[in-house]
Amino acid sequence: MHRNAPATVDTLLTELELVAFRNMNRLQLSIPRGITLITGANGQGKTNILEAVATIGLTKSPRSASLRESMKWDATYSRIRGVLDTGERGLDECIVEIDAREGMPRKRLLLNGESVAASALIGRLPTVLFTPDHLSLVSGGPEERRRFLDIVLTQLPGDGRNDLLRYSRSLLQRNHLLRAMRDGTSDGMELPAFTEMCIASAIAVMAHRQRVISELAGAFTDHLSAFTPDAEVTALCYAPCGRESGQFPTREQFLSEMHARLSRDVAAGSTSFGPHRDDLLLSIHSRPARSVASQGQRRSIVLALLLSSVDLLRNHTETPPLLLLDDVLSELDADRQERFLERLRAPATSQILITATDAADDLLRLARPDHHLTVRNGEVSSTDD
Amino acid sequence: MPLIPPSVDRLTRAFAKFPGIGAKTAQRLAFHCLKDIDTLPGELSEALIAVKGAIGHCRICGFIAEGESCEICSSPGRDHHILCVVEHPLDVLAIERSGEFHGVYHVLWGALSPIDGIGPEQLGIDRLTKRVMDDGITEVMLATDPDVEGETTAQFIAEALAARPGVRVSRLAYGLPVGADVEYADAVTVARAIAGRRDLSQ
Repeated sequence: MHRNAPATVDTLLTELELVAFRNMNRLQLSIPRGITLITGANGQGKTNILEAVATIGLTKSPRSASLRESMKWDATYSRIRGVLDTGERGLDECIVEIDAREGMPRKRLLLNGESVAASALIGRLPTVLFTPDHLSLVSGGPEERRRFLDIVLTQLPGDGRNDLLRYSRSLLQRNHLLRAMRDGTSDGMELPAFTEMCIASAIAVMAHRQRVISELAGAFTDHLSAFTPDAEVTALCYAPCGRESGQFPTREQFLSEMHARLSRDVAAGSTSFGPHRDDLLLSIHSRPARSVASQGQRRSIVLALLLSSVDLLRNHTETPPLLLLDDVLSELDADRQERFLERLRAPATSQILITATDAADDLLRLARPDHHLTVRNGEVSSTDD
Repeated sequence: MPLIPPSVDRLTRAFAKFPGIGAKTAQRLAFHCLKDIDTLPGELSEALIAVKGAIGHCRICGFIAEGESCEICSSPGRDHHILCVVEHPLDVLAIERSGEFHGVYHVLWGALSPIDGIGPEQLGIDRLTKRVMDDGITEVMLATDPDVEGETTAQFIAEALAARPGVRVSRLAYGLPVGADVEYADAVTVARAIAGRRDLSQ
């Protein structure tokens, strides 16, 4: 599985339709193969288009956890519809709709007209989203790095997504029980059973994240070498449960950590040990990149991480991922933009959507977009010939 | 004066308590009753009152019953030493449809869930372990849902029964799609799940 191995199918998002999504009343858009540049002033709805595309890929918004938030403020029904061209397997229609006509907003997912579970949609349109927020992946907190890993993990075939959900649910239940014990409303008889559930799913989650990180690390050095001479001494490794030694807790160690922390965890009403404290460690010459890397080095690391995640998805999902670059190229110098885009072009990806406030000459020269759309007040027009 | 009379509003709010029924559907149902005012409300209220009067919980297993005990618990054709523990009464029906199980049931009416304030006491786990001892049960098959709450409940019961000698504890597992509820599984799936149950007693 090397970087330029052809994917077996090439899934394209050919059509996008939005109804009452964010600031859009109604939008219909066909998206061709290649690079599409979307320009428009701030607040016109460029990001909303990318968010909608990512929502089809992930079945939830990469931006907000709340359903209501992604609906147009005065709407009670909103919908994102995407048509995927999967080549020889034909067309798939994917719909994510939010219905608040009966009070509480409810989400429904449809695949070719049939109501389906999220697992039936995820992975059909692997998606990598790159926003200016990612530029702080190296300097920011571990939570952002976990989110980056989990968005990749969620889209890979296998039990990754399911194990993540099981772990977060187990943890939520255990934390509720700890609080009930603290408040004296429960004697905690069932705590050992919830602890067992947490540990079993935690071990599965750590194994998935370890696999993702070691595969990312495989492509990382090569990508990084395009941006910085320090590639060989820059390392990417996993800190399970925040352990910088990289040492995995065994089942028994996990259990004894949970026991040792019990009274403190009851008092705090939350579990202090587990993969919700995981980190992805980045280092240069064995020293934390967070403190020793220059601004330029940090950006190079972020670009290499994103490129590695594109490769990873491509290798495991039979199709190159769709790439969404949200107003981020202008944050990079021309040299980095050029090298980054060079590595992203086909066959690494077959569709890229780029947003920018204006079609600057530099951007047009470097990105060489195949298509150009402009967004104004939630309406899109094509500037192609 | 409010647009909707209080009696209609009360009916609407009652319908809205059903699962899957939102405010608008509840209103539609209420107005449908009014459209057919001479027959439907009478039929509906009689049926509801009849259910309330006749149906209770089986004293032995917690399943629905007209009278002291349910059909299954009073049947001499069942093996009263093999016990299947489920979360909901509809799970009993799903397992019965498979035709693979000939023992008796224990319905918990839920699963351990600290979020909802449901602990072992609310589920009556003590009653279950006592029943296992008193009735000379030799095998307990745990058929709670394969989600976090169902798995944890199975784990908890397995541990509570671990100290009892001569009781084999198994877990319904294979064949059930992950994230699914037992009540929605088809007969073949449930049959396979019963065939592939795994041991939790050691």
